Amino acid sequence: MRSGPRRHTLCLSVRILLTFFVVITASTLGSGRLSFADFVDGLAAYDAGDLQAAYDEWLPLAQAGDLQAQVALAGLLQVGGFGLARNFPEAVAWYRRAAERGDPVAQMNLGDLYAKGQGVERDAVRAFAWLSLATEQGRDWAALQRDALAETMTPKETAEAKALMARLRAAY
Amino acid sequence: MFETMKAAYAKSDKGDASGYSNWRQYSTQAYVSDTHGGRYVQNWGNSAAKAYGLYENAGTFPPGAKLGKDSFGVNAKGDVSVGPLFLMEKMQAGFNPDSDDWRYTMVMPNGSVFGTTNGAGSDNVVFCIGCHQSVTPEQDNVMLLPEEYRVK
Repeated sequence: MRSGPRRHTLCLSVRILLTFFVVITASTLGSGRLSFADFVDGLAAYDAGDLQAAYDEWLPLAQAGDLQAQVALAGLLQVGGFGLARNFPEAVAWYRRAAERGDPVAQMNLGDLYAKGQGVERDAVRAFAWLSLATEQGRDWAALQRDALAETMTPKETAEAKALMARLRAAY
Repeated sequence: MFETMKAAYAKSDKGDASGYSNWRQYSTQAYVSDTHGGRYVQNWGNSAAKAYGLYENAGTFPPGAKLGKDSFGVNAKGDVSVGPLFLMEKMQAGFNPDSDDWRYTMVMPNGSVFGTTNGAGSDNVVFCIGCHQSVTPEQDNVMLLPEEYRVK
């Protein structure tokens, strides 16, 4: 009879402690402090030439939807080096996720990869569309590439690219 | 390799990322920088940073002085990859006492700029300040290149 209330009190204490832990953890994650620390850790690792450590820091953030980490990770895979192999298809995948959310650097690089056929089949229409969207956001380099590309395209391809650009723009 | 680096940094919307190669080069050749992950770097400075050529005797830099380091890495198999471009610019007094008024910017090879002191992503480049403050106060936060690679 006496152990019942004691056990109940103990369970209540554990539940309060657990609730406190969950609230603190959620608040830390929600404030972005944890992800900020991870991104900077990745940047510091990148600066220090430890690209694998940068990859390991940025991958979970990118998977969780962190735009900055997605673009950083894509750049890492696009260039490679210091023991980290280039992986164009994976770079394309991360750039695409960020580009579809309107990131101009991702749009510019995705367009460039489409233009060069790196990690994806060469596609002038998609290249033009993504480069144009980056251009709209003030990326001069994208404008130069887009204009050079346009000279190699047929009027039909250009029209398709502009229609695609409108659809992509409307989606974010 | 230099052309590849310039082409990569030109993706950035920071004017200095394209213009730095018109500054004076203070390194006779690319050399390995331990403070930048063992990458090969080259040192550049604009006209306001001409005191950089005095190296240990440069003193405090004036506002408008800009220094840059472009970089690339080489792995054991000889594969070469572009690294970041590191920029620092001396701002007006009071800009940021913590950095002795230097503004740090790190430009990635895909054109991203993840941080600029007192600008977007400022906290991302705090580690640059900490590292550069490890030099003696007489060097005004500026790292010097090894003597054998200095332009005389």
